[in-house]
Amino acid sequence: MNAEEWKRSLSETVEGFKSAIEKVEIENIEALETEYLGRKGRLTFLLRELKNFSVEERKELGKVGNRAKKEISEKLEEKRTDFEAKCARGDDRKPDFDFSLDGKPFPKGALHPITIVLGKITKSLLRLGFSVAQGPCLESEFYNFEALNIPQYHPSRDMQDTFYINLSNGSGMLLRTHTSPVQIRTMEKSRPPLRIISPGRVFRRDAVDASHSFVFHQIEGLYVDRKVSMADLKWTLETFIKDLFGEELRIRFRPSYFPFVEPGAEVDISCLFCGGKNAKCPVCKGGGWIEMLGAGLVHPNVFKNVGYEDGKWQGFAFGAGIERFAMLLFGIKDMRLFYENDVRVLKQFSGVEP
Amino acid sequence: MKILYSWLLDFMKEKPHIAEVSENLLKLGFQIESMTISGPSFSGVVTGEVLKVEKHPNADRLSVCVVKTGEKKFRVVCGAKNVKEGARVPLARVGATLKGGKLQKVKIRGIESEGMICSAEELGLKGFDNSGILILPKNTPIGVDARTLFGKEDYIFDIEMLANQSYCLSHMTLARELCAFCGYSFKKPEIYEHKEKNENFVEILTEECGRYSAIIVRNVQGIETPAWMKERLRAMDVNPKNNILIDVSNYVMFEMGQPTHCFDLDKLEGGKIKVRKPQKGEELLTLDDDKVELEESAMIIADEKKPVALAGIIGAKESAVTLDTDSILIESAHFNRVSVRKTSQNLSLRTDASYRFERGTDIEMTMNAALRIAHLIKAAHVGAKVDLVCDNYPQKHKPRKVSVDPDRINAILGTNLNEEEIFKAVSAIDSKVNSEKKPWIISPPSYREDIEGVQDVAEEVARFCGYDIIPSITEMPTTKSSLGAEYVLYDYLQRMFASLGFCEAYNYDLISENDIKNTFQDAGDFLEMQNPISSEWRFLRNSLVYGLLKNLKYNLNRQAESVFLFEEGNTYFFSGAKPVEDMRIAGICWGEFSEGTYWKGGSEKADFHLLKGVLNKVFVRFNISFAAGLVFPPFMYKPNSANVLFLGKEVGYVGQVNLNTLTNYLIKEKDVYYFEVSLGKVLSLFPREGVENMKIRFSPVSAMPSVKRDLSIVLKEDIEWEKVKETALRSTLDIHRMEIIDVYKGKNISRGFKSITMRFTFSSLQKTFTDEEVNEKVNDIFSSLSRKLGARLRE
Ligand SMILES: [Zn+2]
Repeated sequence: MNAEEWKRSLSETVEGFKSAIEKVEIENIEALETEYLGRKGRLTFLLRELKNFSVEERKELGKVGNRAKKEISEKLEEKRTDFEAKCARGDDRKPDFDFSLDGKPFPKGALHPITIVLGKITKSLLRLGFSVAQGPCLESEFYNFEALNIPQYHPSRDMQDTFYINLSNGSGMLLRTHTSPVQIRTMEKSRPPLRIISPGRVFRRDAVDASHSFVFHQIEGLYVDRKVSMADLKWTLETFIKDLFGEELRIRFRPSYFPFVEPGAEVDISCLFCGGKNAKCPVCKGGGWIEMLGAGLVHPNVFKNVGYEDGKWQGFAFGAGIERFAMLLFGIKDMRLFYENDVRVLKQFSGVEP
Repeated sequence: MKILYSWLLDFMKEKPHIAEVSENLLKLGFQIESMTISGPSFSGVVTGEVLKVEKHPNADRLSVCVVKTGEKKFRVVCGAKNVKEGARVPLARVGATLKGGKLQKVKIRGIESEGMICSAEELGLKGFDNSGILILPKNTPIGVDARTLFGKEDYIFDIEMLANQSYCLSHMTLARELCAFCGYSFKKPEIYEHKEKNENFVEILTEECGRYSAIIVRNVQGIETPAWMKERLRAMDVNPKNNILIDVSNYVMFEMGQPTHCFDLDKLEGGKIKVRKPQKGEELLTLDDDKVELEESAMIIADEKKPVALAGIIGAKESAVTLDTDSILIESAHFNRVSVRKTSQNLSLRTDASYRFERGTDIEMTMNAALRIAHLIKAAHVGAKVDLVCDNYPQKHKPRKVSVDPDRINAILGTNLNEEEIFKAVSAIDSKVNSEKKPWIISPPSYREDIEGVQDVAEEVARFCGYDIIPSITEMPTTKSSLGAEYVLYDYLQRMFASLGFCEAYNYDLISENDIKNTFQDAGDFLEMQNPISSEWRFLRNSLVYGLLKNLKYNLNRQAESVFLFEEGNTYFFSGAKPVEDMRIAGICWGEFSEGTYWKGGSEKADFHLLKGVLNKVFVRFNISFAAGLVFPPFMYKPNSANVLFLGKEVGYVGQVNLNTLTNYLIKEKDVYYFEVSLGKVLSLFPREGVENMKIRFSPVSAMPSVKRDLSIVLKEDIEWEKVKETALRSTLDIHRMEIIDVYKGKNISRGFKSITMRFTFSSLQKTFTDEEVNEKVNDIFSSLSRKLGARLRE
């Protein structure tokens, strides 16, 4: 055996040890030590061979050989310590139970999908500086209509079929048809600048079907300050709609009419389902846009009705139907589902954050 | 409203493509609900090539042809002489809809025909040779829908017209809008030219009529409605009567937006028309045979003797045109919109005319609409003779002046449009506006009464330029925001109940009389709808219980193993005579308080104490307590119910639902528990803070070890735990905690008695208690319990 052969043999021995120690079990570690370092061990044999080399070679190869011996001893020691620790921790013992058995079945509660969506929108608009305002469901004609520039005998009253309360004094009390009366109540109480949202329940005298309900929910927004534009409105709506549906969404304004705003706009969002690419899309009907809410700049008559100085204030307002948002967000196709309260449906919303 | 594409194009010099028109309509804010293709009314007809023509074996005049429509070949029996091999023809397959009805499979002289080669007549097409089958041009493709071959394809838009778009409720006016805003040139309809005008024929005696134009036309008996007019009326979903005197009035309304009415002149008495308020007791029998008693607020058209029409709504039957009518009076007037709406609403009489009048018509249009009718009648029958043209116009239109500063327009829209762009848009409203002097003063035309101020003009500018010019940017200053005490409370409670395992329910606020009866209440105490949708939804709920009981039933029917629902919602009732509303939270529980069965066993069912524990946890910061109640709603089982108190004040109740109520709701289960808490009351007790800002003051915890001791006593079974607890806590100091760990009745305990085991934890901030000290405390507790409540130690 020449020096080169010896070196190759040594490195094969070390490699052999390394792969053996990776796989060694606690009961075989003694045997592994004997195999390499014992009196007849593989390394011991190689070291013993050194006596056949010249002094020069012996010196050089001896150094390499001893380093290998040290490495092997250390590795063995390390493994032993490791085994001892595992033993002490009990890692090697059998489990006391079957962890795949079910955990305690705590009852699964859930928020209603409408609560979830209302909460999400509220949270998003709260970050933009909108405070929450509340208003009653029992309203007067003044707050629900007249103050909002919807005079009696005006055809715009046809847009909202109203439930009236049967009262002996004929006071014209009604169930609010939109959350917009909260605009008036807020402006009557406070001076601008104002930034409010008002989530709540509204009523229209509609027969119940997949897309109509005589009870539904809206969120109203109102911003009044000295300088307010349609661009501010667009930005605000885009921000909360993107919070809800995702950044890639686009919004579009279309001319529309609501008596209490001017200019008025219908707000569409780009179709979440087909991105405008499916001509047969059941959601956008191929148009690529979905009608979401109504908005506009506060009509000067509304300011007049709450006693704000003429021309001094500007504002924007918007009103969105929540059921529509929830239907899009959760893929619900029938509005009646929201009022059936089937626990198998409701529990699907368990753990969903508003 | 229905708009026929070709009719719309009548008023535009350019003939824009249908796609361009619909895009522009959308841009201007006209919402197209649907667009349908009209025109040739057949279907199921495809183009084919005649491959083979053979004589029919059993009939000389018939031939048997093979027609190829792409892949497929059909054997067809044909009777026409002009059928030839190689000809391209329209082939109606079995099931096709033709002018004469649906095509059936038939045997003709013993040979089955798999279709029919059609003539133009059979397809309902006009202007073709009808002597035989329709031979199509040689280059006609094979296998395509034959409808696509005939150019006169037309479209019907169904447009949802908003309340402010009344000035576009017709073909001409919509075209006018498209022209003004999209740069097309407007083409006026042809009218009967007439200069002389008489004013005296019509007397206007009320301010609610601003203008009355009238034309007398004679020699009009028996004029048929032209086919093209009938076709257009059909497209408007109107059944033409084939009497032009009736049809033309409708036609002009759809064309120009001006409702008109034709009277039979010979049935008008006295030679004069009056527009006036009714006199007491006057009546009118309408065209639709409704007898209407005229109230004083109404407005009528009358001759010298009697009312002949309810102004702007409907004419009287007596003076209506018939087939025998020889002379007519055409009425085209402007009536006050509020007046028409009031009367139409009061009488529940809605007509196409009232619909337009209450939305506002164009006072400048009346004469032209009447002259258009005269023109159309004369065009249909040259012999018709215009006899008198009258125009009484007391309330001459005075244009409004609106001052427009282009900077304001940009400020409103948030845009950076230059002046020329804005000026161009403004000119679409008023073409005569002067650009020299700023602010610009614009005078909107008579039909744009909706343009009152600069914000209205801004909307028009945005429509002109397209709403897409509005950018999405903001200069809104930052500001602080708040949720408000109500929202914070509602939100907190929703989250708590959901996290405790309750699902949130949403129910309608409306209930039925049955709900009231089922819960043993009196309908007189409930708020009632004046105009309910149905008896099922007639009253406003005074509690959330009705919906939740129905939800329980619904889920039981669907094999639910447990139902734990809560709802936050409004309730309504009278406070004295005044209707009020109150936000409540309520919950209903039945069954296992667990998501299915736990393999380790152990189960807990909904009961009073479970619900009490839930309320204790949810309302931990509200100083909650429970007391035997005096008054509960009748749907609760009083012996097993208690009032919920916050700060010692009643806020609601909790307990078992009355079995009779459950039976009434067809619920067979008995252990149904319910609570309801008034959030109005909660907020009045904890007004400003809400749960968010409740005062929390830290109290120090003891560093000394605490000592635990159990005590078992026997006492009369009707002594409440609350009493025991109160007595014990008063008897000594340093009781850190006192729990009940067992209640026992039965063996070894005398009848009428119960044994309870309590666990006390003693703790002090200052010291560790010795055994003797603790024994002394337990002795104090026991002696107090025995002295005050007659307790004995349990052996
Ligand atoms: Zn889509």
